[in-house]
Amino acid sequence: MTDTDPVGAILRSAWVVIPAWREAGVVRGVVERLRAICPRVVVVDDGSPDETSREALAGGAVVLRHAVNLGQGASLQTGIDFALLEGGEYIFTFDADGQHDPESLARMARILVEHNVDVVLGSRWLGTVEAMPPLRKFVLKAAVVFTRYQSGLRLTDTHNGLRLFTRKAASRIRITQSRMAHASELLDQIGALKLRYAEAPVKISYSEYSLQKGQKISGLFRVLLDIFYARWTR
Amino acid sequence: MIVPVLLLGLGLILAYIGSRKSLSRLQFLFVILFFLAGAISVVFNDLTMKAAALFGVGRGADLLLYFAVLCGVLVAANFYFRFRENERVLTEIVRRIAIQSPLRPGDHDRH
Repeated sequence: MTDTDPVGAILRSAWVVIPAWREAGVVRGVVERLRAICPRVVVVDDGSPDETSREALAGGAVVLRHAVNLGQGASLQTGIDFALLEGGEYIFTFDADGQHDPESLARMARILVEHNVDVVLGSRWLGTVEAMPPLRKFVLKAAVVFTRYQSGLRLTDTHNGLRLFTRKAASRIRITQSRMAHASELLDQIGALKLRYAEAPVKISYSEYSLQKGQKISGLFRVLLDIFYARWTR
Repeated sequence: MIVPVLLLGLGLILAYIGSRKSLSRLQFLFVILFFLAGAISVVFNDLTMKAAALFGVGRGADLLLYFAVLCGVLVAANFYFRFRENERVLTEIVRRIAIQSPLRPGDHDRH
């Protein structure tokens, strides 16, 4: 890649933020594969009792440690704050459990450049999905409809952890939902701030591990409660 | 007999709350009114009956019950909001500590 290649420039200068909680078994591999493509990786260890920090560090990531467990939303915001402090011009968010494919980053960077947008959101429905359970599919589709109604964003996938922000977008977004309602909150803010956005097809692999780590359906009610609470008190 | 006991209790409670200085003057006034109303409703219990009739509630005791439930809900809401605020503060503190002490792959002595 040459220096005139804008996609390569983004990948070389971007920070990848990975929120992680109890991911000691996989996080090192995820970081290593990522760093082959995008060298600056920051893992936010959300108060894990295991060796997540050590493993991420061994993989070559910068590690930020939450003294106590705060939730994924809080971890993302911590990582984004750090990336901004380090002068990052582009910020990716990426899941620690290995469901995302590092190869997706280049595609997202290309879409950012070609469509001249502030935010690129990964979409599993435009891309490849491997081994998704039917109930999960139904809930995710329902969330898409819900979001379209709530924030007016026309997206095919509203709960994908793979995202790319320009510095301008990342510094204006502020995640206050510490737990899992942050995905909807983020989209609300993209809509409210009138940021330009596009979707990129990304590949998601559902392994037994990522399914076990992922959101339970029972967590849905908590998320909805958090969303409605935020709306009332805004 | 009931009146001096009530007055003594009221005086003690007010003296305690006043000494804490955690309430604003307006809040303190509300507390005084609240306890006065309580004392009055005990001594002149026909007043609560009249008030109940005014609100279309059957008995004075029922009116007090509804009022107590309302107070309970308000207290719970107050605690909930304080809890959210504490959570927000905690998040901010934990985040700052995390950002101020990043572990970088080079520094092996730090972990």
